[in-house]
Amino acid sequence: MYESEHRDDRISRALADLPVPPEPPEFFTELRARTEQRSVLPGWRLRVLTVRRPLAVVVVTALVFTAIGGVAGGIAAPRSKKVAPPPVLAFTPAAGWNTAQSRDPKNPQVEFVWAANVPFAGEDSVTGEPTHTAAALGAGGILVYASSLPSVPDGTGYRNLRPPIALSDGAFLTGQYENQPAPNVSKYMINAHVNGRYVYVEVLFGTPTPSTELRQAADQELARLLVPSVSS
Amino acid sequence: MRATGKRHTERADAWATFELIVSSRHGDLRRFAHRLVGDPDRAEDALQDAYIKAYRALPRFSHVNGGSQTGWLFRIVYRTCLDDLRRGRRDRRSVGGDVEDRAADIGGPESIAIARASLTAALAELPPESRATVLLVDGHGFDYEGAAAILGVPRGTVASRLSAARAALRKVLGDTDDA
Repeated sequence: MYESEHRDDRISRALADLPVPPEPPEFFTELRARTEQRSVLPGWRLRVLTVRRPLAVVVVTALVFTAIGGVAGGIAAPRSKKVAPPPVLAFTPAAGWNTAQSRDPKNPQVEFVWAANVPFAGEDSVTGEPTHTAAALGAGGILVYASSLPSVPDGTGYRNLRPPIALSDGAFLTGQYENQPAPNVSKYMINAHVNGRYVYVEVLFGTPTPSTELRQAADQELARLLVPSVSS
Repeated sequence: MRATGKRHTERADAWATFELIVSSRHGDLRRFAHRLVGDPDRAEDALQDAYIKAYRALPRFSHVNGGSQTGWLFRIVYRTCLDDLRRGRRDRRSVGGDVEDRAADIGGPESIAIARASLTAALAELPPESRATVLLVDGHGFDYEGAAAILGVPRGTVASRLSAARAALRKVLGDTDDA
């Protein structure tokens, strides 16, 4: 039985009574400074984000240079060199897979990387979050998302694994589940402690019942996920 | 130079618009983030990250959504906090902690502090999605439709999560009332 659709006054009063810590005095000052930083270069994450799609990159680069000329190349070249230090996580390039990587601007040790066998949707390449791509996955679509954490307060939920990580290491969610990007999307969730790093992986399929072929393709991409050891 | 000046003006306008939208809701959004995340520092960080996202997405909201700005802001804060909780994989027990320790942190007359600490601990024990649901409906007065839109789940999911969350909280409130 569901609750009646009214606020529970007793719980409501109790929640309202819970204190909230005072706001840090510089909250909005810092916030505004951060918005200013990002406004200077709207696609700021591009500095720490690389999108690898071999054929498309070649075609787009050729078009840009043809249309705009060498000046554009001169401008673009230094910017592309502002890429952040080598990432912890990466996918080995593979035909038919697009990959991207970014890192938490506030904690560069926290990295995100993802790969999809479909074009990235929306502004995912810019925002650093493949949310649109996940929501737009078609029946044959696969999205592999991984993040690496240098440490966690409680590592008991992370299985010690040797690479490669595989779907069989995780839990499969299908049908209807919380935070489902779209009704057709199923996913595997994997927590692993690999090479001394804590890795969280989600593999999303654009179908509630991924075929053996799709699962194999996902496992192959997972096998291309490079998790360098802590010492490297 | 002219382009730079224009850009500064545009930025100032964008910030003023954003501030206008956020200022009247900031208190509610802050309370929501703190009760959802638990840890004060992480809650402030998540809130700031959420505001950055909202600031950047504001032009798209104005032109495309045209709906409830309050719901839109809550949705961004919710998703950002949830991402933080998932990435951090915090130990939930550390959020709630020992009730007596939490009571000492919260302060105030002992019985009130313990009651608040018990509720905080019970909230922390809930899955984040359920915690968010009860906070939105009972803490911030959203109806099921509004909460469902913020959480990105069907109305029925809101109802079922709410049922479980309320049961857990009522248990704590009942215990404290009896004391």
